[in-house]
Amino acid sequence: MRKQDLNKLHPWLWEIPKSYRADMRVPARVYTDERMLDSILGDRSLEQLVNVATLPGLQRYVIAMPDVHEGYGFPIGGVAAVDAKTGVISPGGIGYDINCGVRLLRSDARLDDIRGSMRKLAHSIARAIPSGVGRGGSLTLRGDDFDRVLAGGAARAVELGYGEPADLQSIESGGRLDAADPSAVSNDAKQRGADQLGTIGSGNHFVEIDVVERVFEERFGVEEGQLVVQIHTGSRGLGHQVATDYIKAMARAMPKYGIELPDRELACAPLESAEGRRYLQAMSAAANFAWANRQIITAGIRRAWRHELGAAARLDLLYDVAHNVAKSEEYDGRKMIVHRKGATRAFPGQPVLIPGSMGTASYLLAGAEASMRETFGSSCHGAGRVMSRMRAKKEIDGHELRARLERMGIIAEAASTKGLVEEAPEAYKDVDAVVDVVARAGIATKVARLKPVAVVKG
Amino acid sequence: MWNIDHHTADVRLTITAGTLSELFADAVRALTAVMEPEGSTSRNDAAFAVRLDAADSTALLVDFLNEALTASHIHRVAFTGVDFQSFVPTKLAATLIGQKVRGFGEDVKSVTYHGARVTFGEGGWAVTLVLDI
Repeated sequence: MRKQDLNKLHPWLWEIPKSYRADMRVPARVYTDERMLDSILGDRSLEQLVNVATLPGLQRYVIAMPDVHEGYGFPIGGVAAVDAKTGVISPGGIGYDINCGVRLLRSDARLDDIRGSMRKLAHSIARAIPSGVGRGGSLTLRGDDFDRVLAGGAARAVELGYGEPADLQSIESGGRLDAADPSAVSNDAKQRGADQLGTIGSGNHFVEIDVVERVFEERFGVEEGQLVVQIHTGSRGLGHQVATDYIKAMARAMPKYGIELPDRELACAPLESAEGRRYLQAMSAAANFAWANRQIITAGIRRAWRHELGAAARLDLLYDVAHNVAKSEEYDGRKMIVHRKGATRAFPGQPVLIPGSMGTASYLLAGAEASMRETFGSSCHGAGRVMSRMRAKKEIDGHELRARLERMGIIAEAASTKGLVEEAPEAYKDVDAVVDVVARAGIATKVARLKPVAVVKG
Repeated sequence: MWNIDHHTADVRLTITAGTLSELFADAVRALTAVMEPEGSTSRNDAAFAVRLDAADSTALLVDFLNEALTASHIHRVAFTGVDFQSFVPTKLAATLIGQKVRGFGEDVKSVTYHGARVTFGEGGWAVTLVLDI
């Protein structure tokens, strides 16, 4: 695709018209500035977005956020809304890490007061929260006990003693999707997730202590110098298997519904079909598992926090957002299913959490009115990857990276140097530029810029 | 024979072989290589039976690899061999053979259908696969 294939609608929004390819059912829109558009055109993300625009039942247009990058099937950073009666649901439009998301905890501590304890605090959190490939946690549930987590989400974790009932008010959808049915989740998926509650995993998942570096707008109780904690993880192996199971099932079912698509990874089925309903139940159960996971991790971090800073030290849940999920929402007076793959819900006034890379910054935003008019209530989800993990491992020296982070005042507690290198700052886009686009487009407003102080990862 | 290449967020795997069944067996070994098994026993002490059918050989291969991946994660096994009891391009019965391991260094979430197409040409059978890691 070339730049001349896109129409510039305003400085932050470009459109690939429906006429670009005969099988497109709707146009494809990209929120970006001109400089990032050149970079976006360097991979296949917009061709993938055009493929998404062929799904049946789409409404208005499909959208790429400024952090978009090439994925498989859907690009990462994509949004697609379908009519709930006539549309389809595509597991590839949610991704393998169902309800991968971010949680932000707000402390009553200030960096200047506890700077000397930071290394010990990071180490204590690393000990409390298992991380790394396939690492299991201390909580292993079986049978009905496990299914109650799939049905109950974060609320079930609170019932089991992890966190406080008040936490649930600060989680997207209250930390539970009602459509969940544990019987729609395969035994393979349950086995893959059996010992993974309360674990971060590997890849780009992390726990990070940040200092509020700059406040743009006084809201959500954050102030400059204050410490906050981010948690980024999802439904672990359970979600991966749910996606694998249902992409396979839908790929087989598509001929029955007369659906032909340019990429089998976009496999889908009508929402009203047996396959569509079953996937929605399984995806919701996996989303609940992810919310329970982040709730249990929160409890571990709070224990470590109090152990190091005293029993009165507080870590209140500011908000928890999903960025890989399908949600039932209403736009234009109609019920729609909004697929968000690497995109965050951004309802007006809602906290929107945008993690950057471990060496740059993250943002706390607030959803704004244009999101409801233009983006099906959605915003970007992060900085967006520009360098493959493999290339990062080849080009970046782990010891140099650790030393560089230390010089920047960032403590890295990583289970492996490889895991650290894969997530080096240079592997990501400029988060400031990404956030500028959503702010200028009126999708979300800037509340605070967060600077990393300590990173714990697999 | 296989080659592991980079992809923006994931891993791209290219496999070539003289026969279709060799392509499937090499693909299992390539998947295991990407997973970076740790603490492997030296003997083949794990076996896992797979029976599958699919619309075409590409779907059969992706589904077969995902069966291997799921079993690897659940039973912590690095599969390095395949014994085919029956094999046609859209249906197979096989036993995956491998070693128990302590864990894996890379978390492969799934083998995707994205851009996958099994082809036959002058160099034999070939496929390129994208793995979500």
